[in-house]
Amino acid sequence: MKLTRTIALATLVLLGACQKEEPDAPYEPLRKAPWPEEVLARAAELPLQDRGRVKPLSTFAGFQLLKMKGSRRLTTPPPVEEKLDPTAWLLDCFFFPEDAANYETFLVQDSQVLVDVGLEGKHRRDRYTYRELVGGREKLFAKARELVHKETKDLDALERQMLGLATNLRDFEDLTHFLDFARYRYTTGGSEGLEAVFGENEESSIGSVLAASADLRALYQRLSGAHGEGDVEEMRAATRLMDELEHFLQGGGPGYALFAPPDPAPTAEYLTPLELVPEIFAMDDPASSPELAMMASLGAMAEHRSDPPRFAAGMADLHEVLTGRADARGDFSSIPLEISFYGVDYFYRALVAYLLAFLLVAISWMLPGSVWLQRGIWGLAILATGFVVAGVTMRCVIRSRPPILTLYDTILFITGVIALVCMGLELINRQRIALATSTVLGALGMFLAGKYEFKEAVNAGDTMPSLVAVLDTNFWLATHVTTINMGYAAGLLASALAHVWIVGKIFGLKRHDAGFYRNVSKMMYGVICFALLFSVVGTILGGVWANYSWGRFWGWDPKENGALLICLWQLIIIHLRLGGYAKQFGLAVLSVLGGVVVAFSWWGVNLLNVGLHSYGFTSGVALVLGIMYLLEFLVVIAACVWKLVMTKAVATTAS
Amino acid sequence: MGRFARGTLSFFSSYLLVCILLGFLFILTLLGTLEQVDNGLFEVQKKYFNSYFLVHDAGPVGIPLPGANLVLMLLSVNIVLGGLVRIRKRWATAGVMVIHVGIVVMMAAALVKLHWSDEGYLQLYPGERSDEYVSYHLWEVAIFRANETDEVTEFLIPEEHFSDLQGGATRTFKSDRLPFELTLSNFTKNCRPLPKGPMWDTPHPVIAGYALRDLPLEKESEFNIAGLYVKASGSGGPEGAGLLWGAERYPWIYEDAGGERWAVTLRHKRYPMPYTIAMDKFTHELHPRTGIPKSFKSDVTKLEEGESPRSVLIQMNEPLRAGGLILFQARYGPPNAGPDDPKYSHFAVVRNPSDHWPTISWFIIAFGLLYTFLWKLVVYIIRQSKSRVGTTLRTEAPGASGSNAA
Repeated sequence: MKLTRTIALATLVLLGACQKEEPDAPYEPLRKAPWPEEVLARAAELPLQDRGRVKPLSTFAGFQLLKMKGSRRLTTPPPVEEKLDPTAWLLDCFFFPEDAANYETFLVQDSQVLVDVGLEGKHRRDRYTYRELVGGREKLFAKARELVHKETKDLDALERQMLGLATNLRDFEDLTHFLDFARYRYTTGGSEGLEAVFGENEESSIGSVLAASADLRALYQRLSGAHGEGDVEEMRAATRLMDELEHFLQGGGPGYALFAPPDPAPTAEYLTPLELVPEIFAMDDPASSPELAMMASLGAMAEHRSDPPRFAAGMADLHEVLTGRADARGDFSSIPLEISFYGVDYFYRALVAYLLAFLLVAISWMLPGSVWLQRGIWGLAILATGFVVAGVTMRCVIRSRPPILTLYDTILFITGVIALVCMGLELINRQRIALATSTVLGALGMFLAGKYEFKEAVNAGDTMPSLVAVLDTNFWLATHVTTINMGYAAGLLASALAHVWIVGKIFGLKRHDAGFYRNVSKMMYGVICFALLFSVVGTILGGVWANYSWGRFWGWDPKENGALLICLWQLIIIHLRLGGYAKQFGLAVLSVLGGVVVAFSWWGVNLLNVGLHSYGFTSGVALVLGIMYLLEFLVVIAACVWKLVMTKAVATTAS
Repeated sequence: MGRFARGTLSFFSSYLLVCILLGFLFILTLLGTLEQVDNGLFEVQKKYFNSYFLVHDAGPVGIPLPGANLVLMLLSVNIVLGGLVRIRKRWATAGVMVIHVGIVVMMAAALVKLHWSDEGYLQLYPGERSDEYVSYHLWEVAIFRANETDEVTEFLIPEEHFSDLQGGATRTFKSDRLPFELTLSNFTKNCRPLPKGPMWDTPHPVIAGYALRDLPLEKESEFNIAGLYVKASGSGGPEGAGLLWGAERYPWIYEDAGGERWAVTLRHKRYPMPYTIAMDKFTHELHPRTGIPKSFKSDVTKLEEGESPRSVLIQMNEPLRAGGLILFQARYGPPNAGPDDPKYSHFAVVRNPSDHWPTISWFIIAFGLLYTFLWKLVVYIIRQSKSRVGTTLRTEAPGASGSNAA
């Protein structure tokens, strides 16, 4: 972590030396027309290697925008007010950086961050353009340089935001300066040697320079051995050209690995422009090489950015070469599916459908006899769950992996399982309790998934990261991880049903309908049995995996202990019930606490940062978890107080 | 059966006892999980999970608790009596009995692992070979002739024979084949040998200006380096005294009356293997443009007397199982090695007679749970449908009212 931050700091310092924007110039968009559809479609499909995997450029753009803005949509400022998707925004960053600097791209959670670096804040939580922030850039980066030495856990909320904003600003500058090398006109005159290579062109594009790379190499070699009077000037001119090339290739930070190596290649690594140029210079005949074609296309697109037909032609050329290479390596097959996955935005649609379903549930409480309302609730719940299931399935297909690899995946999977179990329960029970619960938990799950995706965008830049070696086994991921999460899902559902029971009792809902509470209690118990089945089976499977991977069945590691705690708690509930020590009230209270145990196992142990399951460590959720614990203990206390009052009331009545 | 015996049997097979024991196990697991943040796994495991009694430090007061060993022992009794002997034998409870059988098998596996297994590691650079593996935690004192080169005969003193030598206690070790006797004392689990100066005090003797400085225990027990004092005498020659330290590169040397030089060293315990592992090649791969390990694998050759050499690939999730031992690809190093530097491969080695028992228990428990759950589910569905039919009939009857109506 420290190393990453140190590298980030070094980049900040480097960029700090070469960035300067004019904050007061009036905004006049340079891009006069929306990006043509075919350009956007082709750009979205460009394969990019990022964080260990090949992904579409649109996915990369989506996470960059989500990380900076907190949303994947952006509207350009007046007078145009064009709605941009992530790919269009990224194209603006690459080709119209002057326009992109005027978009409200940066989410600042607390404007105090800006005040601290000498800027004026708008609202407490608002979005800002690069031009608005650039005045405080130096101070912001200076403060970030100080903060970078602190441990993450020692940073307060404001410091974390300051560091986050500095990183976003730096990343934005990386994006907007990425194609500096393609925009720049290189000095190719001023000496006889260069004139012999470039003719009378005093300035040349990147494509022309690279096309002449073999001649330039020969010129350089000739001049290296020559010591004549004119040769020094010749050498100086040639060196200036190479310096310019190096400067603008490095100006955009580390660059993006867009260029797939030919297949077969000794390396699986894609190349950045900075890495590709030496390859071109090493070629004897670069003119016919796809490497040159790729760089020349970028140059042509930068040069003709305001000429849509020529820009589109450049994009088509680039698309053909890049996708062709990726396809030859087997890296392209899942890219169209991934574009479609993010394009549909399944989980947002599921959230909307669950919320609508819950709205109908609320209406149905006022109009209990309406069959159409019931059908509407069922329809929307099925639709929403269908979105979740489809989204999870697509993520499986894209990665060729079982559904759960990360904590983010667990939220999606658990929500889907809860919704499906609720529907199953509703089919058996027909009390409308399980269905209503599914809409609430479904909406909550999708809301949390959205929030956690933003957190993952900030921390990891993706929700489909590369797997560490020990997790590289589809069998155990499909069995142990899936079953244990089904146990989590059922444990949380039992807790939710317990809330229905407790809240209903406290507020006197259906006071004279003992059957209602008996039914809820039965469902709760059934779901606990379901949870125990999957928790125990999943936990032991985890032990068996550990035995076959690490040589011990049980190591008392926090993650293992978390799973054991769930099993133990559910066993306690079941034995207390079997022994007659827990009736409806006891079952409800214990189930609420069971939800706390599940939350501790699911999230809490990952915050401890100890143990062998280091790939699951997380941070930044402690506050949410703490609030959840507190609320649940309040529910338990409220339930106990209610029970006490009721018992006293019954005793008084009896006496 | 007498009243007392019946009462005892009833108590040990009761739901109340199982709830109490599960409650204690829950508390121990929770405390043992949280305490790992400060004290590391090894110490916590000893305190909470490999103990019969313990005192949990809860700020100003200590809370006495039963250790997991005691709880699990009582739980086993409860499972056998309540879940197998006294349970009503019916089709409805058959699954529950199967579950309890599975749990007993799992506990037996844990018992065997606890008492009859050992574990350690084997670390080899390409080109190296070894027929022994080394414990992560246990120490031993080895004595051997210093000038022996080919076949070395070692006299070994295992840790359990000197780990209690603290606070001035000493123990003397003799052998008919050793011309001297060795007295050990002042064992310390984690220490560094330092020149004794006025800046620090030590309860241990100072030898040739050096003493062992006690250090707090590391969170990861494998990073503790033990130390020990040794005195050699009884050979007719001069007495010798020295410090042994687990990370010392060279052994302590004692010259007996006959002029023979003996080496004495404190080292991690070594276990012989029934075959030799020769390291041929180690490969590790990172995900492109990241530092995330994608795979690491070792090509080794297994050499065993009377058998032809066998090439084996050991990698993550694919260990080598042979001769009662399991070799797992654990990690590689050294941590500061550059891309072109030679790297060693680190195998975790486990000898566990109950290796596959957890898998067997999983099958039994999963079957029992599935049976029980499906049984209950079917009963629930039947009752629900009957209840719905009943409600409908009541609602349709003149003047009837159903409180359970959907």
